[in-house]
Order: sequence, then C-alpha cells, then structure tokens
Amino acid sequence: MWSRRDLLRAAGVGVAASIVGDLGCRAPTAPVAPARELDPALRPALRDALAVLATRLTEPVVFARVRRRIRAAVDLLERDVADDTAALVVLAGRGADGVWREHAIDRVEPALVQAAAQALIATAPAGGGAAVIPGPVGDLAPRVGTDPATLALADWRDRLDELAARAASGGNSRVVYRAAYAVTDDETRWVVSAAGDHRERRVRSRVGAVAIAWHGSAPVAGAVEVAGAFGPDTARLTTAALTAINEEALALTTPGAFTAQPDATVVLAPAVAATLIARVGPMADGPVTIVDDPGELADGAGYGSFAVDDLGRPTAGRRDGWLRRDREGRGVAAFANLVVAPGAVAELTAATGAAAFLIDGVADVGGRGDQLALRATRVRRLERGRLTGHAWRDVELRGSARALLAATTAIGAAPVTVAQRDDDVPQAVVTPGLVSRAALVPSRGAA
Amino acid sequence: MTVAADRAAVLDALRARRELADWSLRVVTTQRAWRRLGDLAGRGTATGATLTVTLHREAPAGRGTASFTVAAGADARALLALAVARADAALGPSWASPAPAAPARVDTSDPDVAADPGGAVDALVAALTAADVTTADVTAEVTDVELVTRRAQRAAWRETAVTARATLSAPAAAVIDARARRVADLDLAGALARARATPAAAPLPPGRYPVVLTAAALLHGDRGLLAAFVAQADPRLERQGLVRYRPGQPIGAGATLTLTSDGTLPFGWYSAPLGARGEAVRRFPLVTRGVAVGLGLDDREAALRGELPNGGVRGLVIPPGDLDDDQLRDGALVIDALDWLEVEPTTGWFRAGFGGGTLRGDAIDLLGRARTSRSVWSTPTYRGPALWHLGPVAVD
Repeated sequence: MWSRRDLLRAAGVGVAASIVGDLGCRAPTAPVAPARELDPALRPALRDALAVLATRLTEPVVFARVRRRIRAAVDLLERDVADDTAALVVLAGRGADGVWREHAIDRVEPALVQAAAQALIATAPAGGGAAVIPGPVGDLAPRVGTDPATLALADWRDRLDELAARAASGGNSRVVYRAAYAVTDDETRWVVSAAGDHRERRVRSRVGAVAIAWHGSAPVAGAVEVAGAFGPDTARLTTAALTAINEEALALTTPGAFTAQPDATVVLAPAVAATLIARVGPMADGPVTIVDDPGELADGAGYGSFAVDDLGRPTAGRRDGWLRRDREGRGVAAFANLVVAPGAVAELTAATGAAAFLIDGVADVGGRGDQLALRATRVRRLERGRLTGHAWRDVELRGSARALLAATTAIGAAPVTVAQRDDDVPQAVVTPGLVSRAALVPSRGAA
Repeated sequence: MTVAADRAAVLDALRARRELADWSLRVVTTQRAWRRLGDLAGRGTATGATLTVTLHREAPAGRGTASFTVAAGADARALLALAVARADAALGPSWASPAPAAPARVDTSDPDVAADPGGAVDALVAALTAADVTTADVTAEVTDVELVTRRAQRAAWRETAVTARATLSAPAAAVIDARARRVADLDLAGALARARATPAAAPLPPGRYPVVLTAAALLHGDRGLLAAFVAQADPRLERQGLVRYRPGQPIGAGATLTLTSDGTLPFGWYSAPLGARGEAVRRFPLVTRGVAVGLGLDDREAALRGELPNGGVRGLVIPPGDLDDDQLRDGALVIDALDWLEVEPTTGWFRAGFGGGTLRGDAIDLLGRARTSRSVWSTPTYRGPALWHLGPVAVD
C-alpha cells in the first residue's frame, strides 16, 4: 500500500506532501479539540510588560501571537483533521548602550510574560528607559466569509468530502492517488508600543487538490491550489480547475529528449511567474510593475496582509518596509503580498506568435541570487497560439529573473494568489501569467 | 502552566490509559542566544519547550499509531482522547515494540556553550567582526531532551548547537553558513578562507569534463550528493519499490563505495543517545564495497522486518582512498564549492550549479565508482576523503 507522503514526494508535489503526508486516519469519532479561549488577562499583561521594559529600554515593544492551524485532508482511503496552536511573545527595546535587545518565550500566561519582561531588563545596562504614554487602542478583525472558529468537525469533513468528490470527476483508473486538503490559519497578534495597543486577527487558507498517475516507472502529479485571506471556502476551487489536475496527471509526454531552445518565447503560468517575482521583489521599472502591498486586497487575495507590523508600525503609507516575526520570534524583513498589476490579455497563449512554450508549473528551483535554473513540471509547445500536443517533463528554464521580467511582452488579465510559505511568515505573490523570453534546456542534459 | 506542569499532566493522562500498547513522551526544552550585525542588528534570547507524544494501540486487526504535540497549557486528556481515536482508525500490520535500548555513549554538548550561550555568541561575533563581514547572524542553542516511555525507560541528555551565517564584504556576495555542536568544530577560519578563495570562473563550454569535488562541495547544504544514498536507505521507499537497489544488490556497475551510518560520532550533528521514540542509535553499514547492505530502521520498520532498530541514517563515514591529492587534481576540473544542488531521492539523479556552469548526472553511479583521496576531511556530519574524482561528468 502506498504511503501518501512517499508517493507525493516521488511525484514532486511539495506543498501537498507536507500538508497531506502528516495526516492519517479514517473518520474520527472524537471531536476536534476546541480552540483555547484567549486569556482576557493577556492584553493587560502585555501593557504591564511594556511598562516594565520602559523602565530601562527606549523604543519598547511587546509582541504576542497565537496561531491556530487546522489542517484537513481527504485521500482515497482516509480523512483527518489536525488542530494545532502555537504561541509566541517577544519583548524588545533599545538599551542605554544603543543595542537592540529582545527576549522571546513560547507561552502567553500573564505571569510568564511579566517574568520575561523582568528577565530582559535585567540584562540591559542601567540608565536607559522611556516615558511611555500608552498609544491608542485598536482592534482589527477583517470579516471572513467562513469563520473557522464557528466550524465543527463535521463541517470540515463535509467540505473536504465535497471537494474530493468534485476532484474525482474526470479521472480514470490510471490515477492511482488523489487527495484534497484545506489548511486554515486563525491568528491573533497583539503589538503594544508607544505607537499604540493594537490587536489584529487574521484568517488565511490554502485549499488544494492533487492527482497522481503512473508514467512508466515514475509518478506524475497534477496539482492546484487557491490561497488567500479567507476561511476554508472550498467552493473557491472550481470544478473545472479540479478536472484539469486529472488531465495534467494523465497527460502523456513526447518521446525523446527536449531540444534546447536558447531564446524561446515562454508563457509562464502564475505559479512560475511567482517564483521569478519572489526572487526579484518590488520593481517599478520595466513592463512588469511589482508592489509590496500589505493592505486588504480584493476578493480575499491578500494571503500575507496585515495592518500593523510586528514592531507596531502601521503599514498604511509606509515605504520603508516592515518587520515580521518568524516561527521562533526572530525579526525578519519580509514582503507581505508582491502584487503585479494585471494586464489586458485574457488569453496569453494567443499572444505568442509563431512558436512558444507554455511552462505549467515549478518542480524545483535551482540557481543562485538572480540567476534561475528552474525545473518545470511540464512544458508544452505552442504554434500560432495553439497547443501542438508536444509536451516534456524534464525541462529547465534558465536566466536572470530580472531580465526575464524585463523581457515581458504580455501580461495576463487574471491574477492568482500564490502562497509562498507554509510554516513561517505568511507571504504571497499575486500575479497573472506572463509572456517573456528565456532559455530552455533539458534538465538531465543533452542526450 | 509551566512546562513541568504540562509534563506532569501529560504523563498522568498517559498512565491513566492502561489500554495503550506503548507510548513515549519527548520533552525538548530550548534556550537560545543570538546576535546580528548589519541589517536588524541586535541581540536576543529565547526559551521554549515542545512536548511530543507518540502512542500505539493494539487491536485484533493490527496496530495503530498517532503522534501529537501538546501546546502550552492545553488539555492533555482531550488531546490524548483524540489521538487514541486517530490511532484506532489508522490500523496497520501488527508489530511489537522492541525492548528498551541502552542510550549510546556520545558527546552532544559543548560545556562552554551550555554554561554561557551568550558568551559563546559574543566570541563568535568578535571573530566575524575581525574578518570584515557586512552582515552576520550567530546563534547558540542549548537543548535539554527528556524521553519517558511506557516501559519505564527514561533518558535525558543535553545538546548544544552553534550556527553562524555571514556575508563577506569581498568577494561580493560571498556567504558562509556553518553549524556545529561545538564551537571548536565550527571552523569559521576555514569557512572564511574557502569563501574568499572561490574564484569567479568564466562559464565552461558545454561538454564532459573529468571532475574532482572537494568534500566541501560534495556536502553542499548538508549531505550534498550523498543524500542520494540516504534516500535509497529509506525503508518505506524500499518497501514500495521506489528505490534503485535493495540490500544485497550492487548499487551500480563497477561500484566500490563503502558507506557507513554512525549516530555516535562525537559532537556529530545527527548524533544522539537514543532515537526520537527511545529506539537504539547504532553504527551500521549502508554500502560495503559497492553492495547495498542496510536500511535506516526505526522501531516500527525494524519490527516489521524482524531486525533490530538502528535509529536511522545519521553521520556518514567513508574510509579514505589510496590516492594522493596531486594525482586526483591533475588534469581535472576541481570544484571547491557548489552554488546550489538538487538531488532526486528516488533516482539519485542530480544537477548542481558552480562558478563555471551546471553539473548533471547520476550521483549513485558517479560516487559509487569514484576514486578518492588518502587525505581526509571531517565535519559534524561526515568523516571521509577530502577529494572525490567522479570521472567524466556532463557540464553545461
């Protein structure tokens, strides 16, 4: 019997392997462990901790985060729902010696927060401190269509069963494995500083499906995912998109090695474009404009959205970037949502001219810095805007990410949110497909 | 609730469930000190704890297993009830837990780091500052691990870890990324020298070249190209036919490689007295003179195969070769460092970027037949030849 993790790994479906591979059981009869109620004494404790920090540190900040992650998955034989909660408190400020200091704990009990504040100032030199006037209190909780806090186990199961049933349409007996999943993060952050006392709740989800078929001695996958600032809205994954993954898994490839193309017209699917954009970051010059936008995006597209960064600085109108806390509480300068302004081309393949190649997805990303060596899941040939039926699976796209974007000749009209991280600072690239030029080589070398 | 209170609550809940065939509780408590230079400069500390439970249920139809992590202050009994339901519904073949293993004798803690992680960080930062770096991120971590099992097995040990990442001012964008259990093994001076010595090579014309990899290049990232052999030793892949060879079979035509897993290397990065659920950690052969020998077996895989567990693949040990460095380097393309690497686990095929282009090939075939140096090189995860001559390799 196949182990799901091994099959997904062999088929190169990274995200699904990490989400689906960890779960495993038949319909559980026990309820999902109830979400822990947040201690109402936490917020006052954070303010008290700020006051303690201010006795010896300037620019004091107290950050807390409670993140509940619910992962639900269904495959051919089993279904499961896992519910995990992680907490983090980071106390920080600048000592009299000018050194920025931090202390992090993974518990939110008020007494432990207070003790952590005392521990931090004990390490700081005497002579510092600030008169902190508590800033304005703010609470932000954007509306969520489907609130995960209101869902019971049966609700999660029903949604996944419905998704799996739709995903099963359009396949045949060559599909040896099929899975559907939904991962929802329900996260509350508090940031208390002189700038304000801010509490913000964010809900974000990734909903996807995978189908795997055998091709010779290797498994091949078709996969799709929708991500954004919404609850487990499985209806966002259309039946057409689910049917397409079966076609992708079952599609045959052209015999023989791929012939290298030193300068090919390429149509990059949104997931492929997202890989380039994540490497380059914000860009204002050239045909592709990329903006880091942490604000609320239309239709819940902002998977990485937030209103106040983890130092308490509002993002509205800010141009200097923002600081986020990673899983361990370390400060990182991370983009929120890299947004590409959509173009006007509804059908990119029609905008390609005589000969082109459609790059469907990303199997692995090599290269260093700006130089990419991206191994594609599948490359299909186009002539005069139409698929010829030729397809290859072991093809590598090479070149400078910046140069590829600069060579863009057409931008699609329909942006897609591509979530970038699964377990750390939430980030996304919101982009349509692109037409550009790149070198394509066989990833296993010339025959 | 404190960690101790959570631990006590979990143990009470586990001991109350007498119907469980077996269980283990792993408590990992971490203290961390760090400093940064350059962007986001500062210093900090952190403490944390993770409690992980694995339980097994026996039924007429087989044995079911479930694992879960206990969040701070969570209701241990409720989580346990849910995990039991999951185990009941995930029945597989029956297997019996092996007898409790004696912890291996292995050093995993640097006493200087354990006594003063902040001091260790300060010393490393001073060394990097003197080395003219533009950014640096140094961490020292002290981890206390406690393992308690249903069969009254209890073990506790301490692990330390130091990591240092830095960007040099010259050559531009040169990076060092080192980690070790002991400060003495971090080899900052060596890493800095290698980063500075890497020349900006002009791209080579596509073709096949005789390639020599230094051990540093071979082990890019962590296990580097040797990851191909680690994947082939995965018992689940082997059982499902997703491997190229099985124990007892040659790894390839003309192969002469001998490769051993050793989880008891002193201060080895993968060394530990016991596995995650209390299983034994042993030294065992993966490949002997070109013939596959062993798989990395945890308690379940070992029981299903009627063998003893060995704790999985850990540190890698290869005996030195019999050639001088000059003999190997003569006429070869010598690669001191890779820029990036992808190794396909089921096939062993790899592609790797370096200053002059991209290498592509079959890692199992190339390493299996490689000629190696008499000189050796040691890291926290590797003891073996300093140079590997792979023969002709495709470059583009």
